[in-house]
Formats: sequence, structure tokens, C-alpha cells
Amino acid sequence: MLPPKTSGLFDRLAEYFSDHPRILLSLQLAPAIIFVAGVVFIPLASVFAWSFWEMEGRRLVPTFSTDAYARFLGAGGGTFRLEVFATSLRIAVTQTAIALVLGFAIAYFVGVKMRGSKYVLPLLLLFAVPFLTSYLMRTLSWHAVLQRFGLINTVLLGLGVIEEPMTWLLFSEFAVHVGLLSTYLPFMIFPVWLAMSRIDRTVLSASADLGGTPKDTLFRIVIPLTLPGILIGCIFVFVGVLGDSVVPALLGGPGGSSTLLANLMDRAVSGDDLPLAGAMASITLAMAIGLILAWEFFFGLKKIGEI
Amino acid sequence: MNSPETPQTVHRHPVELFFERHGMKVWKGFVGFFILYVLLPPLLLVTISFDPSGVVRMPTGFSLQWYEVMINDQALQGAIFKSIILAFLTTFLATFLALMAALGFRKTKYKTLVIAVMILPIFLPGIIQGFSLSIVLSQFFGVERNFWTELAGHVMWALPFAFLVVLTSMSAVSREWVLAALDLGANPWRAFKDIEYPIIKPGITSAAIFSFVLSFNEFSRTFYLYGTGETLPIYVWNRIFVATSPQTFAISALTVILSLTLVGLATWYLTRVGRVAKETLEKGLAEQQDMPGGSRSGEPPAVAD
Repeated sequence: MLPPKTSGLFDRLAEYFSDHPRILLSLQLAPAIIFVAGVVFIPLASVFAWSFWEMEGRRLVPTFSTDAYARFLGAGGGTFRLEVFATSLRIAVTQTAIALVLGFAIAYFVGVKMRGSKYVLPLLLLFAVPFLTSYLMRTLSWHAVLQRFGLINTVLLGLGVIEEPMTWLLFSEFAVHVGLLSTYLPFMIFPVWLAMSRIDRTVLSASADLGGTPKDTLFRIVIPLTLPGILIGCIFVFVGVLGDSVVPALLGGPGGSSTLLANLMDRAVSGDDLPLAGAMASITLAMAIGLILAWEFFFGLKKIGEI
Repeated sequence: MNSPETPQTVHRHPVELFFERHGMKVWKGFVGFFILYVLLPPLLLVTISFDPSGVVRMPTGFSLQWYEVMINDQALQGAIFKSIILAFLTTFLATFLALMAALGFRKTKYKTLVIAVMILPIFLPGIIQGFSLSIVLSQFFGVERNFWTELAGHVMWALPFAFLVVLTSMSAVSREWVLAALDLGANPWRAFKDIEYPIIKPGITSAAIFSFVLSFNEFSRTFYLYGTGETLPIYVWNRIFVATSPQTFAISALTVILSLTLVGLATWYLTRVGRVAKETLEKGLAEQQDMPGGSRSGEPPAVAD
């Protein structure tokens, strides 16, 4: 068969590109790569540099000063930043654990128990909904559930379970966890489910046929094979919580849960204390990059492409 | 799961028996609770927006007054307009960049590098991405925040997701089909237009819808990158700590409804990728058989669903 007649700009361009496939390839990849490098990676890399610089008025001046890190650790004015950091780490670790247990169970139900059902995609999508609605308002609307005359108190008072409204529900570390979980649970469910859905059904039935109890199958087959997804989910949640300033600001309260690391960064940026913001961002980024490198070391980044 | 009953296992713990009998119900209840848990806040917003009190609490009445205030709020109109413009530009740019990158991804040797560059931003906190770009631009290039920095923030947020969606839909296209088209004399443009594009079109559409929704609701990057004029999430943020501006609930409720509709639409498109691939293949085979003298050589390639 003869090739169809070529006409038009695209066809003429394509003729050229079929002789020069390497140029076409670079033109396809370059725009996205250059864009992401320019707006994400170069600015993030620069953070490590200017966390060692100093402010002169409102301008960053190149130098080498560890002053910002010293102040973060408590030099000249109390260790409150370090305490905030410790609280943030504690909340991030707790939230990761909560999201892991619940997210794993939900992913197990969707990925193993409901394997092959036509409801899998709609079900997963229901969990993706919050991710695609306004993050601010979604967080704020927890007030209606948790506050003094909110949903929970109203229901429990009406049922006579409690006599006084519970006031610790809102503006507390509890509220922060409730709010964080509704944001980050999907981030755990999706990678775990992806990893789980790739476990061959025959592997699961083989385990049962060979006398494995459901518990054996879970701990010796499902969890080991799902580990890459589990770790990705944990990185998502942990790093996400450390970079979240909205939930603590709207739901947090006494005991340090209203000001977390991200709020300190935000304050440092708006107060033009850029090296301090840079130092805190560098520490957060270093942890994120460390976790991602650990994942890469154990499983290999190429795996994402296979998904 | 369906282990054979043996006489030895008759005396079992009541909890175990309970789960044997009602296990699936417990599972459904558990998962159902968490679906409610993640859906409750957005849905409550819709009910709050109809409450005459105008504060975040359990709704007690019905009124459209905040929708009326919303319609007459000049600043809000500006914010809606700006958010829509940004969302459209982001949709176009992110989908285009994602499609090009995904087309290149199939051919490049440096797959790990491309994946890393495209996906890593999802793992790094948005506020750090936002203020680092803002600071680099203002401190090193003297560029103050403006519409374009804002657009960059939106595209950087939507791009990884658009890329993943397009890449997923491309897995339905067998590389051999494209190579066959090229062998038969099609140039790369024809191979894309006639072979790949029809199959991945639903994927591109849903990537575009996701980009739109992500951009429309973007907050943490925009907060550090916006120039003059608020976007919708910024408008909401700037009034969230002010006692009374209940029109934000009205617009948020509308946003929730719009987002949900679009997400439903995007999913519908996404589920079509596999079907379109199958239909295209079947149609091609049928035509081949109808052609005089045309015969099928070998088995058709398997279609990834």
C-alpha cells in the first residue's frame, strides 16, 4: 500500500522528523523537563544555598553563615522552633501510622476482597473526591462536625450519651489528626491499592491451597509484595503533613498543634527572614529526599513507570 | 479464605465465628464509614451554604441569601473570573506538556530520569515549592509576583497528575501498532494522529479535566506566587478568619459541586481508554477480513484493558 498523500504543515514537519527522530524526541521531552527543572528543582536546590546566606535589609546576600540553623536550634531566644519541629515530627509520624493502618485495610478490601468487581473504580474515586475539592473549605467544614454545637456533640447530646458538649473535639491535636486524615488517607490508599492490585490472584489462591490461613497470606504474601506501595504512601503522608500549614491553622489549638513546621516557615517568609525559612525548608526537603532515596535504593524508581 | 471445614475447628472463639459469619458486613461497614468520612466535609459545605445563620455549624434552616450576596460580590466575581482563566490556561499547558512528555517517554533511554523529574514534585511540600520559586524570582531576577508566576505555580501542580493519566492511557497502545504504521510508510505525525490519538483521546480529555480541577482549587503554591487579584481559594483564605463572609460558603459549595461533576466526567472518559482501544482493533480486523484478498496473518495483539 502506498503511503497516504502528505499535505499540511504537520505532515511536512513529520517528514523532517522521521529522518531526525532524535530531534523529535528532544522536542517532546524538553519542554516539560525544562519547565519542571526551572520552576521546581532549581528553586528547591537554591533553598539549600540561601539557607546559609544573610539578609541585608530585604535582600539575600551571599555569604556562609550557619546563623539560620543556629537560630532554628535555639540560639539567642529559646528552643521553641525546635519544640515545634519535635511536635510536627510527632504529629507526622502519628498521622502516618493512622493513615497506614486504615489506608492499608481499605486498600486490602478494594484490591483483594473486591478484586475484579465493577465497583472498584467508583469506590476508589469516592476516596479521591476530597483531593479534588477546595482544600481550605474542606478543612474549615470540619468545624461544623467538631465544634461545641457541631454534628458529633449534637448527636451525642440528643442520644443522651453525654450531658455536656465535648469541647476538646475542635482546636486540638485530635482535630488536627481528624482533618489531616481526611486529606491524606487517599494518598495512602492509592499507592497501596496499586501495589496490591498487581499481586497475581493465583499467588493468593496458591497460598490458601497450600494451607496458609488468611493471616499467613496477609503477612507473608500481601504485605511483602505491597511494601513498595506502603512506603510510597508513608512518604506521601509524612512529607505532606510536614508541609501542611492550613490544617493546624484552622483546626489546631493549645498544646502546640496550631503551629507546626509549615506555619513557622510561612511566618519566616512573610517576615522576610528568608535564611530561616530556607533552613527549615532544607531540613524538610532533606528528610523527603532521604526517604525517596531510601525507596529508590530498595525498590528502584523505574517501578513507578510500570504502574 | 474458604478453608475446608474440619471437625477439629468446631470449638472456636466466638469472635472468630462472628467474623466468619459477618466478615463481609464488617468490611463494608468499615469502608463505608471512611467513604462517609472523606465525603462528609465537602457535603457539609453544601448544606452550610443554604443555612441562614452564615456560620460554620450544623445547619438549621434553608435560605438562598448567601447565593444572592455571592452574586453581588465584586471581589468574588473577580476571583472567580481569574480562577477560570488560570484553570483554562493550566489545562491547556499542563495537558500539552504532559502529552509531549508521555510520547517522548516511550522512546527515551532515560526513563528513570524522566519519571523522576515528572513525578518527584508530588512528593515535595507545595508551600516550599511555592515560596522557593517566589523568592528565587524576586531575589535573583528582580521579578515580582505576577499573573505568570501564578500560572507557573498552577502548571507545576497539575503537570505530574496530567502526565500520570496520559501515561496510563498510553499503556493501552501497543508499541508494535505504531511501529507497524511507521513501517507502512506513515510519518510520525500520521502514526500519532491515526493510531495513538484515537485510543488515548479519552485519557487526554480526563488529564485535561483533572488539570482544570486541580488548578481551580490550588492554594498552597498560589499563596506565595499570586500577583494582583485573588484567585478563588485565595479569596476564601483572606476571609476565612474574618467573622462574617458567608458568601464564601456559597461559592465553595458551588465549587464542590462543579468539581464532583467534572471528576465524574473525567472518570467516565478514563474508563473509555481500554474500550476504545479494543473497538479500534476489532474494527481494523473486521475491515481487514472484508477486504478482498486480505487475510489475517497471525493472532491479533493482546489489548491491555
